[in-house]
Amino acid sequence: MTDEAFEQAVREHANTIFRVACHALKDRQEAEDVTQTVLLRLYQYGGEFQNGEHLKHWLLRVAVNESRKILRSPWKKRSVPLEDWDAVSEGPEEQGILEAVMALDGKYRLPVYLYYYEDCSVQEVAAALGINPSTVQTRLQRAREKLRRILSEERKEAIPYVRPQNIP
Amino acid sequence: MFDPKTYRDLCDRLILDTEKIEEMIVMTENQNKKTTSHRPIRVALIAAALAAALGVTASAAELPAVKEFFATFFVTVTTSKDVAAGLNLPSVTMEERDGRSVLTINGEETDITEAMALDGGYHYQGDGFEVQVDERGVAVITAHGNDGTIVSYSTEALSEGGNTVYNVTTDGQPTYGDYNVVVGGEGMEAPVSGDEDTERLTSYEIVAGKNGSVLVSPID
Repeated sequence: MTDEAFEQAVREHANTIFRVACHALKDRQEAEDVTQTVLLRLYQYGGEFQNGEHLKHWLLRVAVNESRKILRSPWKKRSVPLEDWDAVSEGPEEQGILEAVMALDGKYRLPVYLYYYEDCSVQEVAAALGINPSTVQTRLQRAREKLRRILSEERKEAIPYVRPQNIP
Repeated sequence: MFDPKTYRDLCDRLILDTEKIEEMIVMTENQNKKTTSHRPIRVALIAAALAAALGVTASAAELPAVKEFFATFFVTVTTSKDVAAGLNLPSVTMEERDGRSVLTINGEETDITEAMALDGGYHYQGDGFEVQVDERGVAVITAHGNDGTIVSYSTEALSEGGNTVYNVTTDGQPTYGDYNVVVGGEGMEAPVSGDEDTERLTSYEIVAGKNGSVLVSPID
C-alpha cells in the first residue's frame, strides 16, 4: 500500500475503527490505542483489497480482534471504565441511548453497532465477529429486548411522581 | 424505545480529533515496515556445514506431519474463509548435536549455544512471526496474521499412548468451523468447531501419529 493510499484509508476509516473499539472496550483511551495498532497493521499489510468494502470489512475484523486482545489482558479484566457516553447527547430525546448500548454486555454491543451503525448485514456482522449468523440474530434480538427494558426504566425514572388528588 | 436513527446520530459524534488522526498517520509511517533481525548468516552457514559433514538428520520424526497440518489447515482452509490470510507459519526444530544447540527455521540452521549460555534463551524475529527459545531448549513460535489472528505452537511435545502430542493455541478468529485434514494419504476428520461464546482463546491438541496422520481436537 502506498503512503498516499494509506493516508486516504486512514482519513476515511479511522473513526470507524475508533467506534468499534469504543463499543468493544468502553474506554476512549484504549480505543485510540487500538486504532493506532490497526492502522499499523494496515500499513504493513502485504495483500491487496478488491474494493472499498473489502478494505472496510478487513478493518472491522482487525479492530474487533485487536480489541479482544485487550479485553483478555488481566489488567483490563480488573479495570472498570468510567466513561460518560451521555456527553455526546445534545437533547433530552438523545439522553441515555448511547449509555444504554454501552451498558449492554460485551457480546451484544458490537452486533448492535455493526448492524445499526455500519449497516452490515447479519452475515457481515458474523464474519467480522467470527460467530455464526444465527448467533448474531439471537444477540441482536436479545440486545433490542434489553435496550427496550433499560430505556423504559430510565423514562419511568425521569417522569416526576405526581401525588394523586381527590377531586371534590 | 431504542431508536436506531438517534443511535446513529450519537455514533456520528463519537470521533477522533482531526489532529489525532494526522498524528496517527505520521506515527505509523515513521515505523519500519519490517523488523527482521537474526543471527549472522555466517553462524548458520557454519552450523549447516557442520551438520552436513556429520550427516545429522532431524530427530523430531513426527514434526513434518504437524508442519503439514499447519500448511493444510491454517493456510489453505483459513484463507478460503478469508480468515488468517497472510499467516506465515515457519517450520522450526531445535536439536542438540554434539553438545551444540541448533535452531532450524525454514531450513536455515543457527548455532545458538553461545546465546543460550549468555542470555539463558534466544529470540528470533522473522517476518510475521517470532521464535523464542527458553533455557530448556523449547522453541515457542508465535505467528501474526494480517487480521490480528495469532497462532502459537511449540516444539515441545508430550508422549501419550505412543503418540506425540503438540499443543497449538489460536487467538483472534476462533471460529473456523469443521474441516478435514488429509496428511500422507491418511485422512482424519478434525472436529474443530466454534461455540456460542468463542470470544476467548481456543486451544487445540494435535496428535501426530506414527503413520503421519494428524488428529486435531479442541481443548476446553
